[in-house]
Amino acid sequence: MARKRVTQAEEWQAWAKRYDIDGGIRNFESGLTLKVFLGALFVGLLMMPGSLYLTFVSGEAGAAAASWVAVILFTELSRRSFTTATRQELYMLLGLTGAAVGSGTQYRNFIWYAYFINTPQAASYEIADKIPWWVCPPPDSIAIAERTLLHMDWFWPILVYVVFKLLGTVRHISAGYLLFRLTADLERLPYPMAPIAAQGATALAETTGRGETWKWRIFSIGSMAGLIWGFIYIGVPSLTGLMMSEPIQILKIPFIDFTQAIEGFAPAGLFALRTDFSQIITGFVMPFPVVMSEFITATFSQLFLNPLLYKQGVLVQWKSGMDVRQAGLVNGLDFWISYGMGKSFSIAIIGLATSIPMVIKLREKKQEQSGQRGTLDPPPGRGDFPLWLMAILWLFGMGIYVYIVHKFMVPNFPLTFLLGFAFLYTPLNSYVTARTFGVLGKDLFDIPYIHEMTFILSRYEEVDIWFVHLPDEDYGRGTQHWRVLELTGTTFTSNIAGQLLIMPILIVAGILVMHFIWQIAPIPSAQYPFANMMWPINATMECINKTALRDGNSQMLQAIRGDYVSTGFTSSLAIYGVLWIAKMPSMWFYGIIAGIGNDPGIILPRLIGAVIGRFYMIKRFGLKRWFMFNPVLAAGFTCGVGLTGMAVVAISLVSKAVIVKPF
Amino acid sequence: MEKAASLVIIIGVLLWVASILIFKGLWRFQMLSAGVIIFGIILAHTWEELFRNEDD
Repeated sequence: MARKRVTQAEEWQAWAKRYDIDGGIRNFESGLTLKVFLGALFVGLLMMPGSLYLTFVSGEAGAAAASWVAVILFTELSRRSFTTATRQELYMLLGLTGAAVGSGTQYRNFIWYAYFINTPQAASYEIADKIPWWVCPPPDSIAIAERTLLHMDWFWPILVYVVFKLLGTVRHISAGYLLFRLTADLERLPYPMAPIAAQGATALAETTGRGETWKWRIFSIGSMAGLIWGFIYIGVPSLTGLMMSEPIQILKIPFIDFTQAIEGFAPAGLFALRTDFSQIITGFVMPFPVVMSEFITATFSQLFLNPLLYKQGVLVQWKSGMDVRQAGLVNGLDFWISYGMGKSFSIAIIGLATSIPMVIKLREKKQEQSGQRGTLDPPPGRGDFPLWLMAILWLFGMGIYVYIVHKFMVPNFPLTFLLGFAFLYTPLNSYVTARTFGVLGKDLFDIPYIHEMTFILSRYEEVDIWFVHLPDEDYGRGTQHWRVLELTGTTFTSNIAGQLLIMPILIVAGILVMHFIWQIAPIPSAQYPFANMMWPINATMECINKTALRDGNSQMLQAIRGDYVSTGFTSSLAIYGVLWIAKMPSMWFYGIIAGIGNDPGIILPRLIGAVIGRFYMIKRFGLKRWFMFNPVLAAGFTCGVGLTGMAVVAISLVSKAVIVKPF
Repeated sequence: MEKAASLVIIIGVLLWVASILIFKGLWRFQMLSAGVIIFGIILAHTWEELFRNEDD
């Protein structure tokens, strides 16, 4: 009997419904309340400075854990105040905390360049006197000598940062929203990783209510599993590292390398078993066909394809005895980097080929119901915006940004390249990433050394171009955030209002806190051990990178070969076409594409999770219940691991403060 | 139209195999076959979205 063709539309619609555990029925509410505002103030004034301090001391920002700690603290305060917190409020707090903690690293650049400009490395590579005025004050500035950010010498760098921050926010909100409407509303991509964040907030919100449901129980089970795993994987090595010269690793971190063991029958093949078994939880959540096909193709790539490419003289740099890092690097330079570029382009083309007929259909047929694939009508009460308004906002944000860069920062750099990055590369890159996040929950699009290629083609030789943030952006990752907002029933308008509310707090608080941290002691210095150890090395690396193209030659650029890019592009299209003819689900295509050239050892833990989920859990709990459980379980697990990480960092800090003192 | 799309894709795939085996993977021949496959994929999805219900 002939296989029935299930169209991509029907297939993804089914997956999207499976991941929407509330069945698509929800009331949208604002997540922005006075309580959340106070929570955001807490985040701005306490979490972000702590995170900044930690990056200099230990290199760890604690970003993953800090968000959950803030939310758990918030729910506990709610319970003890005999009030409730909604999932909309908690998700907004989670998002704002993540943004606050993550944004701390942006301020670090002020201090980094104040240090870098006076390093012997910058002087010997003849960069020190070429660092532009909009990056940091001159080397002999009193602001650097006195270690202060509250000085007029910092006016231009801080002004440029603030203006770019505002324009960047406009661009990311508008473009992220447009892509979300296209991929989630029109195409109905499932966004498999979105329910994790959504269900974490939902489960915690239930604890503040009168009755607790299954979500809190599952979340607690996940949290306990995360705490145990975090103790084994992060806690034991970190804590024993404080007491012993060689830390104890119960499982070798981050992988056990079998590459040399397989080279006898699979020369040039890679196999390193990833020991981070938290990936099993990810395997529970991901679509089974994606994980399975990814593993099969990765195994095929390493056991058959790489040996074949080696024998054919394509992988010329691989030598017997190389470990996974060396072999991965040389194989990448010889073939896989180029191939990967090609397959990324194919995803964009396939996306367009599937979207354009849908848009044509949309124009012809308007009577589709909201929430169905092929319609752009948003659900009522979600807080949507006109698409034209968002398009104008993005054009405005990007146009002004390109104008400032061209007019005031690098006036001699060809405008064509800036426009190409802004209006060709960025939309393409963002669209591909949005699609891969919509299906795979991760990014696949990466064109390595694109800046270097651009600088060579432009024949621009000034160093200042290396300090410009070029307009090559990726809004695709942000589309998942909009999907989470939808799943939690948070109105889009309240989310944007929250972001705009916290931004000035973070800008002011961040600069002030950075100023005070700098005042405590020079950075780097003994008081900041991580910066003290790493920054001199980083300064050398930055000098090497920024001067790599002076002689017009780069080994990395030579790795990109047109023939292999074409092979990646055409073979991916061919796989897609053959799967379509065979009436196979398109999920297999995305798994295959993600697996080609990948290391199967990295995917194996995820496969274990997917197999347990598919062949045991679904039978035990039923399909619907299992798909309701697993995002909540994963959210709890992330929370548990994050809490362990934070506890370990705190113990490390106390330990170093007590033990490292010389007398 | 479904059969036409399948035929175009098959021709594209065969061209690509030929470009690898006969023309040693020269990018021009590969891109030619890519163009054919893209045309087939567009045809396939145009049929799925716009004409499938009529055919059924």
